[in-house]
Parts: sequence; structure tokens; C-alpha cells
Amino acid sequence: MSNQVVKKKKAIKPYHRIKAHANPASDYHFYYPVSPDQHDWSKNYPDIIKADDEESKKKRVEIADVGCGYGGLTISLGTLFPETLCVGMELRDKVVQYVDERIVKLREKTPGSYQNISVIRTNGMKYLPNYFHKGQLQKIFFLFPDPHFKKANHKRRIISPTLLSEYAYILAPGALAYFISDVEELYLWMYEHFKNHPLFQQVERHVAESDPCVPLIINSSEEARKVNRIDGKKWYAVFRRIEDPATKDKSFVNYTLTSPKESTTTDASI
Amino acid sequence: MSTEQQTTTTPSITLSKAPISFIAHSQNGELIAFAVNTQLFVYNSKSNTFYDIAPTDQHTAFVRSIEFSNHKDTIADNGFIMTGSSDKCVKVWKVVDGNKVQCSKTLPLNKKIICTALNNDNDSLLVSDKCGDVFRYSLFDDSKNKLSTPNQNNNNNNKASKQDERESDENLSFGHYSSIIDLKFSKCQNYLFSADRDEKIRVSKFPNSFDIEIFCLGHKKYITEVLVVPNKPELLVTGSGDGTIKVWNWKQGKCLQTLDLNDKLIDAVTIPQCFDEKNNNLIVSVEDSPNLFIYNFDQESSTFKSTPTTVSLKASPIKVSLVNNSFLVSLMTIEPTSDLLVELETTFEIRQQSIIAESVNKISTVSLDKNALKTLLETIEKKSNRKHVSYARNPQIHKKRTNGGQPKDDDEDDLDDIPSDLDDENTTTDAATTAASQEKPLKLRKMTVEGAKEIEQELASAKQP
Repeated sequence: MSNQVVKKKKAIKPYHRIKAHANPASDYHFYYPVSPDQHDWSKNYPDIIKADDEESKKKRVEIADVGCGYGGLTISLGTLFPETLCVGMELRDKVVQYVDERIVKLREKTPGSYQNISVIRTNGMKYLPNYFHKGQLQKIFFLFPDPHFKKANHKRRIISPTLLSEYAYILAPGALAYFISDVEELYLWMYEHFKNHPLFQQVERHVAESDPCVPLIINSSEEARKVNRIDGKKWYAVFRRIEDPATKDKSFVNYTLTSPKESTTTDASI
Repeated sequence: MSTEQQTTTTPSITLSKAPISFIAHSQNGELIAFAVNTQLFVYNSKSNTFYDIAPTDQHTAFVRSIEFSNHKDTIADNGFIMTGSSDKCVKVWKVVDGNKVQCSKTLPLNKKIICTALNNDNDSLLVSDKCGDVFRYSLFDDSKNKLSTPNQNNNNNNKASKQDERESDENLSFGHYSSIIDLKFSKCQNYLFSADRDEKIRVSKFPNSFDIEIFCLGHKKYITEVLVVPNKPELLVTGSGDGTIKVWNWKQGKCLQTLDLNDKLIDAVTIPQCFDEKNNNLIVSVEDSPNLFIYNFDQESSTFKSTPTTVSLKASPIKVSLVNNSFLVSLMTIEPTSDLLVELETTFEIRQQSIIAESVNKISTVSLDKNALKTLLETIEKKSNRKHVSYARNPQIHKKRTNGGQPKDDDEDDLDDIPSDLDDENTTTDAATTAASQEKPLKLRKMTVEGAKEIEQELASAKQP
């Protein structure tokens, strides 16, 4: 009798609707591991990492979607890179629950797939080093972050010179960082900081344009669809983590990519 | 100052002397500097006299740090003493005319200083503020310092303009997202250790401090102090609010040894004070405990012996400094007559006829009432920058997030809500609904009209077998 009730339904977004903002500076009550070695990833990837199998534990998460929201990108990435472990990170608990249920449902529906994606509730500005070793990640995504327009709240923005050092630490040399925003002011802020950071260099234009992740960051997430609905404009860029700050190409001409496409904009026009 | 006001308005309360909050000494041990509340004292251990310091030169707020320049002989080599204070100033002091210490330079900064670190080149100064940002200044080349001009019009003194200043600050070197509690250079000067209230110890390169070498993770509460062991440069010793002392191989971010003091004291807050290189002793104090704990370093196994020797003192120690083969221990004062300082032999016996302790105990310092003293002690202990509750690995608060399980959900906006209050909403719902859908949190589903309808339907379907 109770079988029907117990069986989980498909997660419906309205039940998980919450405020769009969370203060990253406050102390939330949630678990985070003391160090990366102490986090039990087998709970996140039960089919791939087994708690009693040391060999399977060597497989590490290589893609992180910081501020994954409702998980649109995380799920698309899981399909695009079926062999790579991908994790979405989000601070708002109800959203995390939604994504969690969504992934469970997807796994039930198509057994064998979506095993490589998961979501964790954490504060990406504080606890990334608690989850990832140095140079562990190959890709990191910052999609439509909270713009925090007020000057006094700029410290809450997810991209800042001091935080970029931390992101550089968890990224492997050569790894890519993607960011996109529908707010030009915020885009320029992130772009400037990435551009000025000694450990990041923008990838060449043809690399960015042929990157399979780029269409996903433009269209796959819920936030992106919201922008599409109102025919909004999106600004995005891809940066590479470089190993030695001395190798940063000072003559590199930085450029801006937009969606829908616009006549070529280079650094000079900003 | 508020402390002085309180003492004048409530004279009937027993007053206590302000304790010594900081002790530093020159490389040859000739000069010893003490900070008492806002005052700096400099003592010459050869002539056993205090230097004169003009009251107008002194800081106007609590002195946070004292550092000596890297000169063998501070007087002969034209070395200096540097102090940082909550009054947003860094001062450089020099010995003049043989009996005076004069402030030779004041560097006005636009943030309250929490801790400082001075590089061996005697010029690069790193200062951390309460936001967790670390700024690098040059002590002698002002052209490198982009100091903001003091606000000419007070209208400008709002949050937005402060943020403007912060963002345009070119002296910003690196930063944590939470307050930095301690900042130290490695012995080779090529690395920096910074510890924050989120249990992290970051090892970054210097001067390329944007390049993080590794994180030393393992403490379960805020860090209190980072101690660099001079004759074992590969080791780093840290104390924490979790009651342990951890010994790290900082290059690899590996914890080599954990010395636990929780079995001796409840809720111990450990502070590694100093390391005696000759006898290989690590001196540890615990907040609010009148004892010193001595851990001996065993050369053969190159680990610390896990059982400490305990040395009892009259009051709880605040700072311990090893100067000229004896320990200077500044004590928490309880009465106006109580001692500020005791001198201990390296064998940890109290030196009876200690000239320095006698002269220091004679100095007249500000007397404080209980509340002011408490505030001062909290400032000394950097209490305001600590996070007292840590949720790392706390099974009671964290409900495991398994695939089917529902984690307890937090109020998104409240910073300090108590987890036990969260179930209020569920208990007020009628019994039938709770019984039928225990599997899902009602709180979430009742938020919408559709959700409520769905619950009704589910209830109806549950009744029909």
C-alpha cells in the first residue's frame, strides 16, 4: 500500500523555490570535510566509487560547477563527459535537495547513466580546498553568479583577486575556468580579475569557440534559459590556469565573447 | 578611551592591572619590548633600565604586534622596532640618545590591524585586516605604498567608498575569505603561513603570494597561533580551539603528529608559545589554565613525546618568550598588586631574584575594572575573530545526505539559528498529514498551492489500499 507513497516523485521546481541570494560570508550549519581525504565520495557516486574498494577511490572529481543552481549544467556535463566525475556545488539547501532528487530520478529512469554526477551543499568561496586536492580539477564553471550590485556587497562576489588564487590552487595546470553572466557589469568585473591574475590566461579565441562546454554554459542552465526567454544578452569567457606566472603572455589580446554573437569586440573596445 | 571612562566612573570595583599582551626581543636579546594595552615599553636587559618613550608617540589603541628588525644588534646596527595597532597605524621606533625610544615613522593605514609579519629584508611588511585581506607595504619606500588620504569630508565615510578604496588598493597581496588570525614567514622567507578562523592554514609562496603551495587541513576549530620552529624549518606547530597541537610538514601539508590536551582540560584552547632550541622543548599554554605544558622533542624518532611536563604558575600565562636563556612569562593579572611577569629558568623553576621581573612589575600601567579587563583579554586572544562552532565532522548537526535521505534544512537568511528550532513547522501540521508523508519534508511541499493539492491526493491514495 505504502509503496506508491514511498516511491519518490520527480522533483518539481516550484516546491524548491527559494530566494535567489544567500550570504556567502555567514556561517551556515552544514557538514564539510576536514580535508579532501576525509570526504567519502562513495555516497555521491555509489556506482563508481565503492567505500570498500581502494582502487575505485583513486578516481577523483575533475569537474566542478560552482553555484550549480538547479543543476542544468551539471547534468549536461555528465552526459558530455560520461567518464569524468562531475560535481555541482550550491549553497542554498533547498536547491541542493532539488538537484539531488533530480539526479536520483535520472539515475532511476536510465540505469547506468548519470552515475558520474552529484551535488554537494557547500560554500564555494570557503570550502573548496576541503573537498579538492591541489591541481585536482580540470574544469571549473561559474555560471550566472549573483551580481551583488551594491558596492558594499562586492566582497560577496564569487570572483575576486584573492579567491582566484584559491581557484588556481585546486585547478591543474592547463585546466580551464569558464564564466558567464547576463549582467555586463559583473562580466567586466570577472573578466578584469581573471585577466589581471598572474595564474590565469585567456584561451585563444578559436579554442574557446570550438570548446564543447561553451554551448552548454550558454544554453543548458536554468538561468541561461531564463535569459533566453527574454532575449537577453550573455557575456562569457574561458581562461586557462597557467603553471608559471612568468609564462603569461603579456602581448595576448584579450577579447570578449557574447551570445547572441556580436561583431568582434576586443579588449580595446571595453 | 572606553576603558579609562569605566575606571573613573566605577572606582569601587576592584581594579586590575592591564596585563602584558605581547613580548618581543631583539636578536641578541639586549632589547625587550612589551605591549601593555596601548602602551609600548622597551627594556634594556644589559643596563636593566627602561627607555623613555614620549606619551605623545604612543599608539591610541590596543597594540597588536611588535616586531624587531632583522639586525644582530638593534642599537649598533641602526635597527628598529615595529608596532602595529588597532588604531590603524604602524609605527617604527628607534633608539636615540642612548636612553630614549622615539617613533621615527608612522604609517597610517585604512584598516584595523589584526596581525603583521615583517620580512627579513626589514622592508616588506605584511598586514592583515579583519576582512581576511593581507596588504603588503614597504616600511621605507613610500612610493610603493598607495595609502589613501584620510577622509577629508566625513560624508565620504560610508561603506561604498570604503569598498572603492579596498578594490583599488594596489597593496593587496592575497587574502582569505575569513579573518586571518595569524601570519608568519617561514624560516627561508620564501613561504608564508596564514591561519584563519575556518580551520585552514594556508602556505603561500612569497613574494608571489597569489600562488598557494598547499593547505594544512586537519584542525577542527579555529587556529590560535602558528609557530615556526627555528631549528627545524620543515616543521610547523599550530594550536587550535579544538584542544590539540598539530605538528605539520608544511611543505606537503601533512600532519605529522597531534598532541591532544583534551584529556587534561575540557574545551581546551591551545596556544603554542615558543620553542626552546637548546633543550628541544615546546612550550604550550592553554587559555584560562594556570599551567604551562612542556613537550620534549625526541631527536631519535623526531617526534614530540606525547606526555607533557606540567609547570604550575600563579596565574594563567598570556605570552611566553625565550630571552637570554630564560623564559619571560606574562601573566594574567587579578589584583592591582599581582605580578605582570615572571622569569623562569629553562628548567622551569621560577628565578627568584629576577631583575627584569622586578623592574617590569614596578611599572605603572592602566588599571582596569572587570569588564574592561575582559574586553582587553578578548582583544588579546583575538576572540572576536574566532568561529566558536564548527560543523566540520559533527554528526549531530549534519544528517547524512544519502540518495534517499532528506537533510535537515536550514533557514537561509539566519546566521545563527539553532538547529533544534527548525522542526517547529512540522509539529504544527495536523497529525494525518505528517503520518502520510513522513518521507518528504512538508515544509517544502506546503509552500505552493500545487504542493498542498498533491499532499491531499497522496493522502487519498494512501487510504485506498
